[in-house]
Amino acid sequence: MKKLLGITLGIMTALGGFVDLGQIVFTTQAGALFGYHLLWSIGLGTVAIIVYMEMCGRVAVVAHQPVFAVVRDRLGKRLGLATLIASNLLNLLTCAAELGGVAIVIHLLTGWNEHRVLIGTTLVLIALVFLCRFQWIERVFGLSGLLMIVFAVSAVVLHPDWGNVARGFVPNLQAADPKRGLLYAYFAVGIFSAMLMEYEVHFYSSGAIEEDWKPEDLSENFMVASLGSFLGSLLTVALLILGTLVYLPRSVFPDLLSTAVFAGAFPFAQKALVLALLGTLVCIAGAAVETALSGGYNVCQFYDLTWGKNLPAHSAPIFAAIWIGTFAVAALIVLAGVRPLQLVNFSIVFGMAVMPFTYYPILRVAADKNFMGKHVNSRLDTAIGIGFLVLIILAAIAAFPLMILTHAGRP
Amino acid sequence: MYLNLKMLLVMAPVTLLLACGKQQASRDDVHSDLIKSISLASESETFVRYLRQHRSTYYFASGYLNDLLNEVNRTAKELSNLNASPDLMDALNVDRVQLSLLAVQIDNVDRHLQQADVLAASEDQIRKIRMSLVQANSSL
Repeated sequence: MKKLLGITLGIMTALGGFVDLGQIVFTTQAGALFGYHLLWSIGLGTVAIIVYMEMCGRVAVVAHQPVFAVVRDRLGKRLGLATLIASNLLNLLTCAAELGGVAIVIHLLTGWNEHRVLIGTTLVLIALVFLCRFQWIERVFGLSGLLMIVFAVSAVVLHPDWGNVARGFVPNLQAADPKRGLLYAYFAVGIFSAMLMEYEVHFYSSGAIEEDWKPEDLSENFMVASLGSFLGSLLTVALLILGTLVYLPRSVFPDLLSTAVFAGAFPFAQKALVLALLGTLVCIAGAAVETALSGGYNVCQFYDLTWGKNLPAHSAPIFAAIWIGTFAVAALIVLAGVRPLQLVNFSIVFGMAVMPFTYYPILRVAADKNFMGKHVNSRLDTAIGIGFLVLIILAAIAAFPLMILTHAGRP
Repeated sequence: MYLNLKMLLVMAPVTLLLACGKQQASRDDVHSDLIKSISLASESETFVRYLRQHRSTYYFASGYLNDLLNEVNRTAKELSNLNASPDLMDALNVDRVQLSLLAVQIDNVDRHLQQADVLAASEDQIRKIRMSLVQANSSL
């Protein structure tokens, strides 16, 4: 039972990581514009995140090095600090977007005023994280996030052409019209980026240490990383299928969270709509928690300060102050009137630019026999890791120009 | 139909006035704006049909329609800041007028969520708005 519950770390990491506000809207848009043709980027992103999540877990357990300690040691203080600032800025923006998304979903469920809901939700999430042990946080968000399964059921009930779905996993360039080609590239890069958001690996590796994993638990590490990511990926595929079946034939470009949620309940009625809203709510709230905690983990790991969700706040005061501060500032950003989906578009592209500086040091340590001993990467692991790192770097280089050229994905 | 004509008479001079001395739009911009407006009209039409089948909750319907209305108004505001060359002006004006009409219909649906006849009439009006926009887009 304990092992089974351990999987919730992978599920929460993946659901909060790549079934968050940005991915929900972005993937539905990709389906509405290109049908199944971008499924391959979900497949690619899934394999990449499994490979790197597993490496992060292994490094955390064997070398007792969470991600930002690795970043500091491998990149040096200066570049490491720049990466820390960029990553935490990204966490803050993403947390703000997710809190805004939570307020939208609760408004759609209850009709309550969004601003008041935002303040209330922020306080509730702070209280929840403050009072619950790490294991309970991951269980609550990991298991209740499974309500998102209603999106997958809707996608199946709408009878997609499975042959076309399978063909979507093979990359194909749509270069006939240059504008459409650029849009295609933008969405491919965006989906790949959203699946590899750094806070996922920060949270996962810190979670492995919070849960006190030992080297003998490493076989589970791969299972937890794969199963969680596979589930998140399945839901992402479902979102893309829904975009294809519900919105592509109607020439709708889904630009609102409510539009994406509507697709999740499209073949059904009120109960499914409520389930879709609740599933979305949990995933987005989980992402807000992940980003806020990651902010605290990153700073403390970088400066070798005491950290840990399971420690009393007075034993890890800076850690507690940072994650609570992240929540508070994020809520203020949304209250100031910034639209959550604008933030998300920016954070996905900005995240891509920062990504190589997180993933490169992890690969270096995982392949270092002095650190990892018998748990060092095999040659195949390293080759796959390098392959994905090259893709991450190429995507990072392309992200900003594509955002500008496509007006942030405007058809 | 009566509502459409009335709104056209009111909105056309207003939008023409707003069009003076604004940012110049290219053919691509006008095309892109029309695609967005078609998307909003089609989305509204789809949701009103869903509503007519009693498949939405009250709060979701109200919140979603409010989101759609805000988006339509935001797009209309962006369009009001655009000017275009004479050959594009017709399409741009159709876009402006039809978006104004769409806003009226969405607001109407939001205020009569439980009234089947109003929903049916609005769905029909929104379909006509969408078709006008599609026609303007294909004339570009």
